[in-house]
Amino acid sequence: MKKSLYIVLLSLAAFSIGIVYVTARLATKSHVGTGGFIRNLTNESPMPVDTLNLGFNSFYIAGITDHYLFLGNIVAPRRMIMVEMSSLDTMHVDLEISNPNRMRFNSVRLLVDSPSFVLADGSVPVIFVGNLLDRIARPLLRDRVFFMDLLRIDSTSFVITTLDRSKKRILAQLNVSPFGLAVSPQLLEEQVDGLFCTHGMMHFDKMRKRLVYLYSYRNEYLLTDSDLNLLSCGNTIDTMYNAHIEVANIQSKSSTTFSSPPVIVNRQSALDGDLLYVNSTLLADNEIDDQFRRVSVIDVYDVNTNQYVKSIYLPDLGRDKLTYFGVKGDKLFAIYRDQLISYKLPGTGFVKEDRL
Amino acid sequence: MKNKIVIEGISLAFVFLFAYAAISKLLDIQQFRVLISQSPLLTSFADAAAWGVPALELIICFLLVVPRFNFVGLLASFSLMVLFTAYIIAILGYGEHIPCSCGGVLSSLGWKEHLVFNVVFTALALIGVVLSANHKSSDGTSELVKTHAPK
Repeated sequence: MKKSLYIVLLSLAAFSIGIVYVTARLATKSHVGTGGFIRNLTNESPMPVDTLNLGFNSFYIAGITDHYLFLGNIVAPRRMIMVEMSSLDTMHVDLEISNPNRMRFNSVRLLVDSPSFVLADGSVPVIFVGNLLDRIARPLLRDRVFFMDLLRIDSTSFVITTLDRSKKRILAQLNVSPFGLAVSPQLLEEQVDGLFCTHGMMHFDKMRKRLVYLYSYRNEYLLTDSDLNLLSCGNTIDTMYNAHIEVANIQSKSSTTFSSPPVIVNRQSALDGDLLYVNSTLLADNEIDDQFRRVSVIDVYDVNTNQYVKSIYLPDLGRDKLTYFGVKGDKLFAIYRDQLISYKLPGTGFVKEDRL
Repeated sequence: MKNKIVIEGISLAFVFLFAYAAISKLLDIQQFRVLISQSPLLTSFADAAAWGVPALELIICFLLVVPRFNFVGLLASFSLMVLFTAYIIAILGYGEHIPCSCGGVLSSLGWKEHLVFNVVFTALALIGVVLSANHKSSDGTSELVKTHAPK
């Protein structure tokens, strides 16, 4: 009796695990969008130079200058860390928000464009600006336009992503005084739903006054001037010309969400001068799957010529993939949860400075 | 006698768990279907799983409540808990984007807490099955005969 019971229990457990195993095997077989392209993998890999423990996993890169890296915190938006690039010496800064109206915030983002900084919450919506010298953020614009992402062009203008009347994502230029909103509805091209399929990342090159919009779910980026006039379009090397996403409405919450796991093409990115660094998730024909799983690949493009330059591998830290990264010259900074690692990019001469 | 109380307690716990989980899923089946389709493992089986899982949970409730099927119900509870646990372990390996589609308050559990929760309930089902089997054999009669014997 007892023995047969254990056999029954074991076979039931094996059956259950078997179902999950088969489902998992079936699921991993479908590699969408991989292959069909080749990466130029140089022999030289980026050299890790230094590591900094940030203590929390909520820090992101809020700004970068020639000598400093500015980190914002998702959970504690007034907390900023200033990191000196070559030594990784840190200075913790508490920003102050002058908020006489006691506004409530949902998700405040920090943007540092030294010596100015911006604290913005597009869901309120509100934009505060301040100066790193006195660290006090004062309200600049309130209750005018909701936005998702925000880039600072200069002291009075911003570029935002927002929604039009039919809930499609659009780019717009926002002027503060006098208030003006110049929408560019034709820039982002609808492929699936016009909202999720046009998701992307924005970067601004202050020197040349150019903006890059890199789509997350397709192999394309746009280059515009600071007035959002299209200069050129470029493609990343993979073959994902069309966003591979499905969306559905949840009626009870009247919200829209994905109805299958989205295929992210471009996961993270950074712009440094003419060079666009893109962390892609797609496997090339000349890459080994097992190796690819343990690194983050960064593809480098020249946005001037729309040319692919090369790719580099940034190994995972333990089991963590990089969450954010930024590039300045030959230095690359990557955040892995609560660790910041500085790398020297190959083909350049960045070494850790010995400071007395 | 003591064992019987434990078995009934465990059965009752599973009835509450599965009934709660099934009903909270069925109350907003459309949302549940969308959530389940976001799972990298289940996206191609979303329709089948969206109706199948709550249906299975309700069937098991029924089995547990009816005395003559109680033992089968405990075995089924054990199998389903092993299945859920295996699913959690499988999906934790997928990293980045993992949605939770368990009903009601269970959704607020993190994946790690969920794993612990499931392991505990799997162990409970196992205890229930073993006690229930012992209970029957020590009586010398099967549950079936006993429950139908004249009092």
